[in-house]
Amino acid sequence: MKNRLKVLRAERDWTQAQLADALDVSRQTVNAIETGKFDPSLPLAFRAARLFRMRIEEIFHDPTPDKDGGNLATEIKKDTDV
Amino acid sequence: MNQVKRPENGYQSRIRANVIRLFRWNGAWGAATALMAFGPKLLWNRTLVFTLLAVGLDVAVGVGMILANKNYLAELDELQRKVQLNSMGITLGVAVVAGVPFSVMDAYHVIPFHADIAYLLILMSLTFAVSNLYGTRRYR
Amino acid sequence: MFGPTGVGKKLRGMFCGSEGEPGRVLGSSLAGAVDVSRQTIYAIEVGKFDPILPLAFGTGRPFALRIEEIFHDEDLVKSTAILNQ
Repeated sequence: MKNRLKVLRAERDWTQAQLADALDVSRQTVNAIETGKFDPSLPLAFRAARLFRMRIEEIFHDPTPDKDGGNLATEIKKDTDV
Repeated sequence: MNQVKRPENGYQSRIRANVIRLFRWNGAWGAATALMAFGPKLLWNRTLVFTLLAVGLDVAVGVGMILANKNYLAELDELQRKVQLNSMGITLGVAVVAGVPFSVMDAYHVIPFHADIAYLLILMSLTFAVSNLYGTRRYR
Repeated sequence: MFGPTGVGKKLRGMFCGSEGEPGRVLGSSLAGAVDVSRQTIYAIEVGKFDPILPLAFGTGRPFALRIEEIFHDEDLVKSTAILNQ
């Protein structure tokens, strides 16, 4: 999952260890998220959003924008129409 | 306003404390198991009551070890927990897949020695160590 | 420490309502669309399980809602409550 964590961190001159501390996770986890090898949980994403005072969408990028959104919208319509 | 709040005792030190606790329980379990295994012959000349007490102690300490491990898993962050659980899953699989043929081979005297459960424990430890290392490196 | 925070609690009744109720989506159809089990959707709704971020994105997409509009930042709610005391 692509994200701007590394950029945001660099802008503030923080090390990975400092960011890890602030998010209450290991440095390894911060690194794995920054490099896109690991997708964070929603609560962790919220912690990051709160730390940087941003919305989640401004830090993390939805990997599949509108890919099956259309299909689901149709499906939901079908369900609610019953 | 936009300052990093750094807790004095962050994640790493909390995990360290948990690992120490886990090691202590592991050590206690090892000691209780040794007492149970060698005590009857060496210490109390196979007196049934003492043997039963040693078994009870071993199981009780074993339960403590399991709970310590459960706590440790709960304290880990999500990535490290995932690595740990993956390793545990692979270890369980290897133990079952290797353990059953091993005991069958013993039963039909295919192997020239007794299929001691200690061999299985050694295999499980090695499997866990390797898969844990692999998982850790994968996310580095 | 890392137990479920209940981020999804606000979802209650949003997905797992009974068939035909307006404004409600069958949990099973959402589960199929975001490729998880029905059980997962339910556990998120009752706050027993926290989704990973891609799943959270997937949940918001069909409603064209932002994550913050669907999920509750429980920790923030808690800290705000403490500050307001």
